[in-house]
Amino acid sequence: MLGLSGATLQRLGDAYEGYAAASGIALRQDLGVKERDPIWAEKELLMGSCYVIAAIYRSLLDTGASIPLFGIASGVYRRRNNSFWKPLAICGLNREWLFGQEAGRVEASPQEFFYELLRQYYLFNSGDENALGRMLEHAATSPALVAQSVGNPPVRLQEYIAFIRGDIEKVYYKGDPAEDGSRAWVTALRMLLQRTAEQLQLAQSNRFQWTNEIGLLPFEPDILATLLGFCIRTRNRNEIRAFAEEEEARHDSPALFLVRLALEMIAASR
Amino acid sequence: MYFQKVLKGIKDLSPDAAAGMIREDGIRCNAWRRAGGMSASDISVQLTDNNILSHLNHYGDPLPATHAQYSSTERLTYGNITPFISTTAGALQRFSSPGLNICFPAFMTALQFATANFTTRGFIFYAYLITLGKKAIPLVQISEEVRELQLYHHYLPYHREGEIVAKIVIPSPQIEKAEEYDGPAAIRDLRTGKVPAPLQTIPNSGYAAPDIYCNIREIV
Repeated sequence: MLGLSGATLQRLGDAYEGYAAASGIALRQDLGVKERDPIWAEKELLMGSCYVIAAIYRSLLDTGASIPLFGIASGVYRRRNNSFWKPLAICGLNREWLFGQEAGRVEASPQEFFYELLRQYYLFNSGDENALGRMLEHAATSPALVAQSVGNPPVRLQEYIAFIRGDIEKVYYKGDPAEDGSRAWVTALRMLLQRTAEQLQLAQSNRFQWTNEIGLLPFEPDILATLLGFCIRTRNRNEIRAFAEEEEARHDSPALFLVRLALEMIAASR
Repeated sequence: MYFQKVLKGIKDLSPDAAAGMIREDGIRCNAWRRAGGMSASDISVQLTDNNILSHLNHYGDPLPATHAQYSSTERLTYGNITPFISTTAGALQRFSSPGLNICFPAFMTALQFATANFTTRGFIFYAYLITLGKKAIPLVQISEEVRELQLYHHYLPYHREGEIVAKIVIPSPQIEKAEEYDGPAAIRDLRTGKVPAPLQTIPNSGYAAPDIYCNIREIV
């Protein structure tokens, strides 16, 4: 996949998972003594980072095996109060943690707002639906907030909002094919995949690093969590499959594999 | 000014060659090794913005025919003629950077380079470099913190490795030791949740520990 060697991805997945485990054992010995030391906290996040890297490599070979690793990583970031745990919990399909979180005040930080938005989007139709509505309403009246770039690759918050709004509002346009609104999510998703593809192509353009498969990250959990928010709803799955086929026929975006990955992760979890 | 500890992984290196680098030669850049030496004027000409960007983003790319060092008889890459030396310093203090949630540990990056992703043997060198906290490309004795996106505005897709770039040579007194690893054995250790043990460690008796160069004045 992506021109990467399957055998190397397997070794790297094993290596980073093993290193995360070894780091965890070493950190446990200091637990309680140095837990409040900022360096200790950074080391714990570095361990979480290794689980994320392992999960990303695994996902390209064995989708099902990546889900629990994303879950473990989410737990580490959550413990350290780092809101990156939210997209990781989505990638780990961990509804329990996502549900069991009070909606916090996140309006002051675009990044925090984004991660909370992803959480509420994932839970939409199965949790507090007003929470997502309130966030979208707030975004609609906060041009400065939505103009900020969030996530990795950095994309303006309003692009994510256009996608999420396009998804949840498309039901209002059902039966009226003349209305462009029913396909608004398609335009927004194309843009998000385009940004992801650009980042991927930039990484691939460094041939030394890419062909040696050192330090590479083929995608970020942010975009995968966004796609999982769409695909988790049964009613959306045929639409996203049709979207993937259309895109393949159009130009086959290098980031399209993420759509298939999201669908495979949901299938693997059943 | 900072004394930044770094790691450097080099694959397929004999123990004798590693010992020679630690105790005498230091770690030399490819430009030096290719030419068998570099004059002071060569060094001045080589330490440029363009060359560091080529080192970072086009290391494996072939030189174009318009390049001064292009050869029609040999396929040279920017990496073959670089005056810079990549090292990794890892990711501590990085999680507070906005949008940076995933970092690669320095040891793992160095181990991947040293063992070609766990397929061969190689060495990890433990050294330190001197950095300024700002760009200083013409200054040979100062290393570049290219991991700092505030200093290096060009987007580097591999900045999570925590790369620090040395220039021309990492002198022997700045190298503390080298550890040899066997790739297949290392992956076996990692698969059982153990940090790989080195096959051997070569210490540097001439190591100039940076601690002694810190200026601390006691009260009298």
